[in-house]
Amino acid sequence: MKLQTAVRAFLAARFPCAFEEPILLTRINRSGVLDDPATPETLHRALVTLASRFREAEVLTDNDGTQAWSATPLGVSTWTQQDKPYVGD
Amino acid sequence: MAARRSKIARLPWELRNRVCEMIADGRPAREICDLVNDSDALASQGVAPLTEQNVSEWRAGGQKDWERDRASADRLSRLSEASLHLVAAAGGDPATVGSRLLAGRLTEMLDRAADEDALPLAKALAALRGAETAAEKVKLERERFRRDAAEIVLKVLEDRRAAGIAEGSGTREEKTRAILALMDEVEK
Repeated sequence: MKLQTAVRAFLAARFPCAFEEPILLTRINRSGVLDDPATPETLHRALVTLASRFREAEVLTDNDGTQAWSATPLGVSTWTQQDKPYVGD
Repeated sequence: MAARRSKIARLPWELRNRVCEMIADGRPAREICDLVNDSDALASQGVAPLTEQNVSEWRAGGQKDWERDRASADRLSRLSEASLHLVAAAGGDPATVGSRLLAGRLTEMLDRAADEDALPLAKALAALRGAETAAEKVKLERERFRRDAAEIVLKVLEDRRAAGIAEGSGTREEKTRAILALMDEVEK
């Protein structure tokens, strides 16, 4: 599975929960679905692309500056149309 | 999905997913083979074309993994919603980032718990919040009682008759009843 697809699937299945990038990196790599393991850089690029280009993810900032990512309703819709691919243990 | 080395397992994810969708939709095996063999997904790997026998074998094995994963995805969605409800029940504002982060951690925890543990765990968390709420109520009631009692004592002390009762003759029991009568009067 391509990283962008996996990230969308991970976040959409868990909407509206939010996750920090290190946790996303660990969980998605551990799922074993990726064609190639993600790195912090490739993950961040995939998240930014999903957010800025497709509006399927969004970055949230907590009061203490912590940044976390969540799917958007559009991301959930796309994931549903793809038949809800599963990214987990 | 468990590691499988069948022809369908070797397909790129998007094409494999399409194959699984077609099987779930009851499409003929011939149609599925045509789809896969018209792409060069197998040929580029030096693998022979997909046959109807391959599809039949996949239906009995890998297809069940795919269906289980879809059920897992639905379960995750339900867990995520439940987690946010739990966070809200604990007093968190579900709209805030912090609550959504906490719900995420809770979802992962519940997801990792065995099925027979997840529901009791969720109920225990909800009950914990209920117990905390009850304890807070008791604390608030106690605070309110102390404040009311302090105000009454102050009113009684401000009344010169209280000093007369305390310093006068009479048993402790008689003085106590006299003070109580004075308290009833000042509370009116």
